[in-house]
Amino acid sequence: MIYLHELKKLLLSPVLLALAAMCVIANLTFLLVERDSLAPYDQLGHPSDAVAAQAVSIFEGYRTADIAEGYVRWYRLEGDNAERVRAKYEALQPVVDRKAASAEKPPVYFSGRMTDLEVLLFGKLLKHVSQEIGLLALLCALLAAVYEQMRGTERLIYVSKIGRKIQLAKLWAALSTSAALSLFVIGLSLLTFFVLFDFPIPWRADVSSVFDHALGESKPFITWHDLTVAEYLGAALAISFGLALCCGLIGFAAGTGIRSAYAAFGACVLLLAAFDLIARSPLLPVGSIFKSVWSLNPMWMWRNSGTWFTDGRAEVLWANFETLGLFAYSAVFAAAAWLAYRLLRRREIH
Amino acid sequence: MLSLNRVTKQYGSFAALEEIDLEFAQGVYALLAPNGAGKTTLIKMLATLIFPTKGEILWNGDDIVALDASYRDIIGYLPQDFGYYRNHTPREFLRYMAAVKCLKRDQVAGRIDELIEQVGLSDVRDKKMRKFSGGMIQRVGIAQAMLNDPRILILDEPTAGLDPKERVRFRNLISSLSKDRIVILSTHIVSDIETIAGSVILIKDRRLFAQDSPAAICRTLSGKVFETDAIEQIKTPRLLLTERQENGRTITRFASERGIGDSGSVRSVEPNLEDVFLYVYRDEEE
Repeated sequence: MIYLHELKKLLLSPVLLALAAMCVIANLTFLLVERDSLAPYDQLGHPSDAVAAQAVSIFEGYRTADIAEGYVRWYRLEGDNAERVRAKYEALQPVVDRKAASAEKPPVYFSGRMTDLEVLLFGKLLKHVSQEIGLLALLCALLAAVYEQMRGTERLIYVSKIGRKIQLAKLWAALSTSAALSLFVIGLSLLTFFVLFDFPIPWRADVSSVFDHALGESKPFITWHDLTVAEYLGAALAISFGLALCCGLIGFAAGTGIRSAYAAFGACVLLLAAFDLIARSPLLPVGSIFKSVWSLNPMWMWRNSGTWFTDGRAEVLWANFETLGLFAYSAVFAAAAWLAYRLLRRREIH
Repeated sequence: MLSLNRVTKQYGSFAALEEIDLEFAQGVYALLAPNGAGKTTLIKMLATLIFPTKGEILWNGDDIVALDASYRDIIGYLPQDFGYYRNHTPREFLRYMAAVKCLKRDQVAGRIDELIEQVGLSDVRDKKMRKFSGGMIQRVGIAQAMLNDPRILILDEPTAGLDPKERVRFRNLISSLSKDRIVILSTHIVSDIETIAGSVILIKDRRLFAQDSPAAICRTLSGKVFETDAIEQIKTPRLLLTERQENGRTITRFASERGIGDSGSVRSVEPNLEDVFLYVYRDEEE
């Protein structure tokens, strides 16, 4: 019953509703601006006909070692760091060979460039939406955690039978609200996209074939697992939801562990900024384990959302880094949230 | 029975309370002390918001911190300056409080209506609380504290900020609620508890100074409180207590350790709790 009360508080929160509406409006504005700057679709070429006629099978004879050597030269890697990068791309070679040998999903669409609409949907809109729902989840959990403290009702509730365990109900309510608001933002943003753009997407085709090259790069779009475009979109949204969960846990941990709501918000901003700044810092050499671990953080994941399910460049050394990072950081943030809750149970409330 | 055994609360090197021994059975207990004397600290320990540094607080022999939810289930608490949801009606707010007190859903509606009636808020039960006066908010506060029909009702400065009419009303309300339960009331306003408290607890210099009935507490000053309309003629050491106007004269009430007796314009009077309060805390700044 208390869960429903907490859910109602959050779902009717003007701040959260306004923020969700702002996200949708921002995405709508972004898509309208992009539409005006895009060439008419007819001039872009259709992957299913004209481009298909010029298609080249990119995976046949492709050597992933070339990608590795490119990174080694670019970052001037040496020693273990260079070897780790080479090892990762060596592990990717059987994937390429499998794709080349696949008769069911041949890489038919390689034309040297992706269509602008593919970049717009999978490269830009998906990244924006992922960041937006992460922010929503963070603020939602933070608001839930500090709600009573901000209203001065904390002491009344902590002395009630449920006591400080109310934070758990608040956490579930925050995650549920985040999920609902995320669906709202994603649903309306995708709906807007498909209403604005008459864009035939080959949903059942292999995404490694449909995407001419990795988003924003010149190498092929090599996914570790065979994914259709529909599966890729679903998986990318699932990772986005997972990152939002991470953000929710960060917000809950900060709101529960830090007495001041403003300080808690500041701590969240600092943490996310630290994730980003340290990941980009030259102090962490590419190819090092620490750099790779650090690069699994949510900020780096958002920044590189276009590389999800692929090799993920030289910064990360492991296959399926997005799933690995999601689970690893979710576990870390869940532990932080649990620790903050345990601290709250022992803390003196003045 | 609720008992405190040598309870000490320290913040670093500062001791807020030292070695407090108290026992609470049924009735109204008034914690009477000036601001900053440690009343709220004691109240918060009884409410499990803070924890003793040394000593223990027991409910029927069990430590209240270890009892956890089962102890909180039997207490009602009204903090000083308590917060509320301004956009809720009293009924909505009480419904939420009933949920956090884990009350059974089928009993909640009737209990809420009953309490709203009892605290005299029936006319505004469905009005948003943002326009409520301080007294009305305090009545919502006492209603929430009573929702679970607590065995122990803990009220921290419940009349602070209320006008005299509301204070009288609140006092009567507490009196009516005190049957079959322990009511622990902290205040620095003597008149709040003079008529309703069965036991008065005085804390001085962070320690328990006295715990007794109001009459017994007052008796400690028996023969030491006087009134006169010519205070300037009193040469013996004295502590001025209060002044009042009567038939155009200023009557001064004072305490003196030395027996003055009825003589001339000076007459001995029965001490009241306010006299005791002013006498006991004569050296402390308000």
